[in-house]
Amino acid sequence: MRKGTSDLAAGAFFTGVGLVFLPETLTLEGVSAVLPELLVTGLLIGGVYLLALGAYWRMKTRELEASEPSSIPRILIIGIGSVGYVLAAPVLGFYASSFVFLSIMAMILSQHEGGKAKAVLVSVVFACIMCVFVWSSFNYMLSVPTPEGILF
Amino acid sequence: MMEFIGPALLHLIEPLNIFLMVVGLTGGIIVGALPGLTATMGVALMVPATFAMNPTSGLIMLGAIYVGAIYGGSNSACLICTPGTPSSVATTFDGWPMCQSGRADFALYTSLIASALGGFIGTFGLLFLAAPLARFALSFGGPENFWLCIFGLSTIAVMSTDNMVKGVLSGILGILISTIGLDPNAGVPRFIFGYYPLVQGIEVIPAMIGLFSFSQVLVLIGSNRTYIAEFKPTKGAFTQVFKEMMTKCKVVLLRSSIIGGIVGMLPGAGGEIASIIAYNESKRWSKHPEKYGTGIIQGVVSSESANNAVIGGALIPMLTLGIPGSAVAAVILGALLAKGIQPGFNVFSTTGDLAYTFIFSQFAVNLLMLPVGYLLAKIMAKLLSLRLTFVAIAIVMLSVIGSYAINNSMLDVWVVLIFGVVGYFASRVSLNTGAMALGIILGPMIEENLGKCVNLSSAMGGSVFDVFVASKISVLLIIMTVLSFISPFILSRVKKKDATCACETAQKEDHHA
Repeated sequence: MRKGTSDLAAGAFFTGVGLVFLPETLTLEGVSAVLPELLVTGLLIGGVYLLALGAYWRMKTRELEASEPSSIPRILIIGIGSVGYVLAAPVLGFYASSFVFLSIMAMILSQHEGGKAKAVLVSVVFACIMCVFVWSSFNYMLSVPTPEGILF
Repeated sequence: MMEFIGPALLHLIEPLNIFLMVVGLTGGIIVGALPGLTATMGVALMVPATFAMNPTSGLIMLGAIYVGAIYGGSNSACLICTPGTPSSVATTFDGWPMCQSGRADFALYTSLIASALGGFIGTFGLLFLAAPLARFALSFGGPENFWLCIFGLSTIAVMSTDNMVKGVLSGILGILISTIGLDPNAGVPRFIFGYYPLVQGIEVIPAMIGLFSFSQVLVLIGSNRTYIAEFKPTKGAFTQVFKEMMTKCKVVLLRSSIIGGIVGMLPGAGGEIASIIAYNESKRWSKHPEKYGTGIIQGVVSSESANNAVIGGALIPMLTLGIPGSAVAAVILGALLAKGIQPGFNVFSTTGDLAYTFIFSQFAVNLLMLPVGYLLAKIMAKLLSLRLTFVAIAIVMLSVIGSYAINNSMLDVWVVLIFGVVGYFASRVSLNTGAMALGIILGPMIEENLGKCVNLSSAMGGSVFDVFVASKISVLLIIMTVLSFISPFILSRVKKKDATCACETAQKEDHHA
């Protein structure tokens, strides 16, 4: 990432959040308004400051900031998979959706040694073990509620 | 007092009570280590089971679960950068870097020994200083609690010395997030953006799971590594850690435990605030504050000793005044009342046998935690030998069930995902998730106590600033807060000056040579 880019991104984020909260903050009255007004003002001033700082650094230098490389496709896969999982849990049921999520994600994201059949087998076994472990500890022993759906 | 000590000690060596302590500790550590399952939940779940037991055994078991759960949170904090309970947030600052550098066993043993010793010191306070400390806790009103929280927030200054602006803005964002939902003073819904379920506000635990746990899943999956961290157990690690703690960390341990004990007594202020304040103070008074956050045992010691010392502190107002110092203490108070025991200053005389057995059981539980925690730490460290992908996917599942279990609400699960993305973004652009978490934790207390100050000033017909400085405790906290905010600047300036002097001296010596 180029030097200044992180300041620009952070500045845009804080300014954006400040702007989202600003309209309702202006409608608040009395003691309810005291803290939000202070916070939104601070966020907007700080956000604009970071934007200006980021722009300054980007103009001044082309240096790169040190950062650990990361695989965006893998992050997108787990991100999208997790969203799908959370959407499916109240429809299918927690354990059914967990089984599907765990086995699919393990198949896609793991670098298995051996053939595809082994990858499928390992992923399904892993999903089974996790579901049984969570069911026995959370549901059976601790009686922790889980989202219910049409399946288990 | 002396007449109760003998029978209390006899109760403790009963096989059933020893068994209940071990079971309670084991269960508590496992519950604490699982993100989303808190000490409160663990103790509350076991209250009905204790109805079948005699009051002494029931209370001993509840106390063991409490201690185990608070310590258990550090296991996941060190191994997967996921605080199992909010009071382990500060443990991630040094515990996780220790794990990443292949010293997971050192991190786990440090947290274990620090927790046990912190718990010991907290219980010592409970045994000998209960009455005066309870009276001191009663002198904390709205203004004092407000300044205590602001003092807690000043940690941001120490946490983010490399980029103060981003640290402060992260803290502000955290507090702003905590204002979502019903205003604690006027009962007005705020920032719900037309989505009614948001009236319940953003729960702290799902936000923590998102910021530290789900964001870590994204980082780990994106890293293309095979394992979470390289780890080879070191022979004699436990003894090494113990020796190092007894030589280099004595002051840190004692100071953090005292902080934990005092903060624990204050209603509403729990392990999360105590551990962060203790971490902050350890870093401030250290000769090498720059090493904090890189994986040093002092960081883990300060956080873990403080959050376990909170237990003794929280039990002081509960036993002596009937005012619980924490949510778990409130559950234990309920169990006491259900057994027909009335807390108050007379609890040590009318039901002295039970009260002293409970207090001495806390010593025994902290002692037993060393072997029980040692065995469990060895098992939990095996997590590092599993493939990263499997661990990461399993964390997603545990995060979902852990966050859903709090309110039986899917909103909390979505909070995990959203805060996970925010946490990942924060790690990419150098924002401070610790400061953000601190803001979310302290925000409701700040606003509630600020509201009390505003209402108090209206009633008195004066300014809110008059209320702020009305008591000596408030003034002391204000001075400590100011010092806390400016000390990183002063210390870094002094260090720069020292470095310049050293450089000039070296140059002169070279010139002479």
